[in-house]
Amino acid sequence: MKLAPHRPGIVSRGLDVSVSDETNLVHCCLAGNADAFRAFVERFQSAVFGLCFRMLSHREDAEDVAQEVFLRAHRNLAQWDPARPLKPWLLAIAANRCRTWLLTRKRRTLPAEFAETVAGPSAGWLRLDLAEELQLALDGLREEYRLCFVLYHLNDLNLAEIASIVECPEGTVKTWLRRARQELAEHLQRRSICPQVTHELR
Amino acid sequence: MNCADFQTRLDDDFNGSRTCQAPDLIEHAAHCATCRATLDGFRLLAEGIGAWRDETPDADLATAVVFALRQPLQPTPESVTAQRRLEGFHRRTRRSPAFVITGAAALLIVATLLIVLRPRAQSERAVAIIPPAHENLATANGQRHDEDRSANGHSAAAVSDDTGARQDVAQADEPASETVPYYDLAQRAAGAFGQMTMLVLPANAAESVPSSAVKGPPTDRSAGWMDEFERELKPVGRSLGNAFDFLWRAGESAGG
Repeated sequence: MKLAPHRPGIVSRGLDVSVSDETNLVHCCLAGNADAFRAFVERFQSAVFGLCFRMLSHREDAEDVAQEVFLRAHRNLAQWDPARPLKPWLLAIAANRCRTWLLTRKRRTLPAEFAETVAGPSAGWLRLDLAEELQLALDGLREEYRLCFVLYHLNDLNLAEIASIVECPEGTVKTWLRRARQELAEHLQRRSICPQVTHELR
Repeated sequence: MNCADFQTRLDDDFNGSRTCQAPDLIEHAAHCATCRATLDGFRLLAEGIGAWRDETPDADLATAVVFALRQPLQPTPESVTAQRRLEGFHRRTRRSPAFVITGAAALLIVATLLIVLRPRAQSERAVAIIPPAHENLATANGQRHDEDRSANGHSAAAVSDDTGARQDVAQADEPASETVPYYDLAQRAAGAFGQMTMLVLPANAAESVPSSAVKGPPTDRSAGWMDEFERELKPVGRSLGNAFDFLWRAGESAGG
């Protein structure tokens, strides 16, 4: 019996059902089983890459960071506590790497073309897709607000898990999340986005 | 329900998928323009989140990650820094001769300071007893014999044998050591420097000392390399003493 692939279109190779749960998967990875690690990446790449992409707003950067996250995870798998779920642990690594990457990117002087790609088409006259507009507003948020919003609404983590990732009390996370939503809603209203129209355009 | 309750309920109920359809919220929003605007904004946001989730791209990282794992890991900036620090530590520990050179330089500086910053009264007295410099530079094959005469008829002789010990024979009330005041000091400093060198050198340095470097007939004491080293240093001490002596006299001649 083979391990079911996590995402359609991605095929896990030759893995036994014994590595289907996280602990066994990690043990197989620690034993040096390349196929187990491939399955590990396939299982979590969507969550990790999604977080990186939404935090960094740049596909190539997100791929680099996500790849680095998995390499770091592989290096530190022995430190993972089996009593805790694997996904928040992995997303915590991803969040830290994204923070570091954003700091590095702030210090760098971006080439004009790259800066445009990162910032997105922010010209006021350009009517954007609702999702693009939301991402544009998200890029303008404080880093903590953005991280909490992405972890909650994209990665479906609860407040306690987010609190453990950002190392803050749950109340703080709740406040950050509320402010993030308020700012995003105000931004969407300011931009006079009409959902019906955007749906028709799509 | 007031506006504060409305905001709290809106935040608590909002999870991005349900678009704020609670009847009590809608009822309050119907009577309050501000809350109605807030509710519209959150509905818009809920719809945006749905589209935003759907449009989040995916990436197949497995092949790249597994391939990267098979390659030798590229050094991260942290690992490069740590590696450099480690190399620096090894380089420092390998460079124990550098400590010897530094010690020698420090010794030279101290000796120079001793010459330059000597007590004024002593130098005044010494000026009076200095003979011409060429008389005091006669040193040959480890034997040194200086004879100084002072202006008031007093004289002093300084004799040192190859052991480096100096015997001052005062022929008058003027102490002989003042004629060559730093000679003994230089020899002692050279001895201390030798001892310091022995402490700094690694334990297996004895094996690295070439036997050809040892001069003179072998004696019972020459079995230990420390004794050989000490014997090597004694001429150095004498040379240093002569050098300081020369500098001192030259300085005095220039001053006089």
